[in-house]
Amino acid sequence: MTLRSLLLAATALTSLASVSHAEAIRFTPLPFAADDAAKRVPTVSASVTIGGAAVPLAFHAFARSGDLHGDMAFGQLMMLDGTPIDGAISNNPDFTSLLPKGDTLYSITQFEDTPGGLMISELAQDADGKLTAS
Amino acid sequence: MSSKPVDTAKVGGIWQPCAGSVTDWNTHLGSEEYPDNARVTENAIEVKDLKEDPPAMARLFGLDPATMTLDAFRAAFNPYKYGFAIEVSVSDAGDATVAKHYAMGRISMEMAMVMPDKKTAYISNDGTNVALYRFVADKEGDLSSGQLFALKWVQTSADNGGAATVEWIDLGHADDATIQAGIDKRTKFSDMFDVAEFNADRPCPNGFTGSNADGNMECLKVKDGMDMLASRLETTRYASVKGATTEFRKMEGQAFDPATNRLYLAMTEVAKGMTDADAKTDLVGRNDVRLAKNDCGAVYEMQLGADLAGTDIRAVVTGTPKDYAAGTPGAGNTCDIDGIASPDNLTFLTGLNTLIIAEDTDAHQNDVIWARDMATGTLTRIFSTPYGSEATSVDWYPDIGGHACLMTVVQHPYGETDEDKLKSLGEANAWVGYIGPFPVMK
Repeated sequence: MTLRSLLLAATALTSLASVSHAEAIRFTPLPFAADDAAKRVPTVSASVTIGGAAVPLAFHAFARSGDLHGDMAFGQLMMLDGTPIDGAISNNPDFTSLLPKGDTLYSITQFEDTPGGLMISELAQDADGKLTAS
Repeated sequence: MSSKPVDTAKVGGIWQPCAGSVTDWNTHLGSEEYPDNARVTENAIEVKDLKEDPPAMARLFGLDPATMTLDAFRAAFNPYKYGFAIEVSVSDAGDATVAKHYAMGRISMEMAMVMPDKKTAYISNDGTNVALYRFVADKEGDLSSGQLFALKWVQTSADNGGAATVEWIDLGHADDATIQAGIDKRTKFSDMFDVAEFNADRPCPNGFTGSNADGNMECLKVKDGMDMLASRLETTRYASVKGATTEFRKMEGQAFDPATNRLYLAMTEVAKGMTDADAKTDLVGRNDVRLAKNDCGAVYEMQLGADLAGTDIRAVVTGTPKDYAAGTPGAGNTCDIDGIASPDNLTFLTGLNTLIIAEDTDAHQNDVIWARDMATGTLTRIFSTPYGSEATSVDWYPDIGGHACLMTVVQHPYGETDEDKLKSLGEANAWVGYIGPFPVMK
């Protein structure tokens, strides 16, 4: 084996290693929302293939603004003294985090409004991984 | 599910929290966007001189924006309390506490994201004439003190969204407690800066430096002894005075790929200060970014060095303006429907070499989420939102209870466009959820 072919073999091995390092993922392309029905609802790729196995995908909403999951509507904006601001339920949830603490899964949602809103939610997860009302 | 408001009284309430991230130490790191122009509020003579948002904020204090006096509003509202990174910690008992990191600077903050060293945070800046910041905390896992830097773009290419080498302008060191003391003392804009009028041919008078920040072109001089407070309360103005590039336009979400040590940064559009010598937004003599306008936006990729400081930046994905004739399926779109429009929030599918790009746009009628294969450059549409929404909060969790999920929020359906398409009120409610579940990624 020449030095050149040794080097080429080593290069090939290196590139193979870097390919296998990142697992292949492929989403089923979601068609462009072309008609009124498709333009009215959230839609998602039907499935994703990771490492050769296809899994179905869905969009799961665990809260919508205005929902009542406690004493206050989801999105209720508050005064500094802890009083709800009359008629101010934000429709602008933005960044929502998931914060697992022991066996409990918390989620913080910030509402992009003036004043801003901030809510903590407690979620439950079923055996299939779905996050739902606890 | 149970939900309740988090008490924010300790930090004086919060203002327009936008994007965010989760730190390595499992806290929620949010942001406050588009803070008030404190110079305007200081100089107001009547309530009607205030900008649009401050009166809405009056509701936080129980004031009625329609009837309040300016004195009452000013007594309650201090503009320098808002525009910061917000860290929310949740105790094992489920109690949430809120802190603001004044040491990280006050800007129109889109998002702060902590790097794997648990000290470096990149801070993106939404608006017109904005900058990219890098904060280096003194201690791991503690964002309450550190050094702040702002990016200077040294352009190397104007092709297809452009490229540049990166220099970092040092904005100094600060800690939360010192800056908070300055806020609580009611430091005003005029305590930190002298202002002069531009000379007729544009340069500033001697002793003053041109500042292009948040759409304000001003001749500023930092008052003696006020550098630290100015660097954290008027961060974009200060960065501009110090020579950082404050020409970016609607800089949005960020994502990081640890495998390549690259940071991704979305720009809603390549416009205003990012174009060559724009009369309104490029101060004469600066004009660091000189690119062709692209209303469909771009996603930039910044290579970081071993110290996690960016060294080079270039556009990797750009949108393509396109006309669609009325009556055709694409009508109502002004960017190619098979490419990005106004990229906003990003996340990286770590180990899967895939960048997720979420849109906030009026150039696509329905804002979508894309998956970009970084090896091939292929864009795949994976999510589409209802009329008038933006797709936001995308964040990848490789392992939540043995499953992976892609957090996704549909903000303000029928809100910013297509309000007339609404058939019932409930349709307009936002959705907070996730795409998945995916197989666990470890």
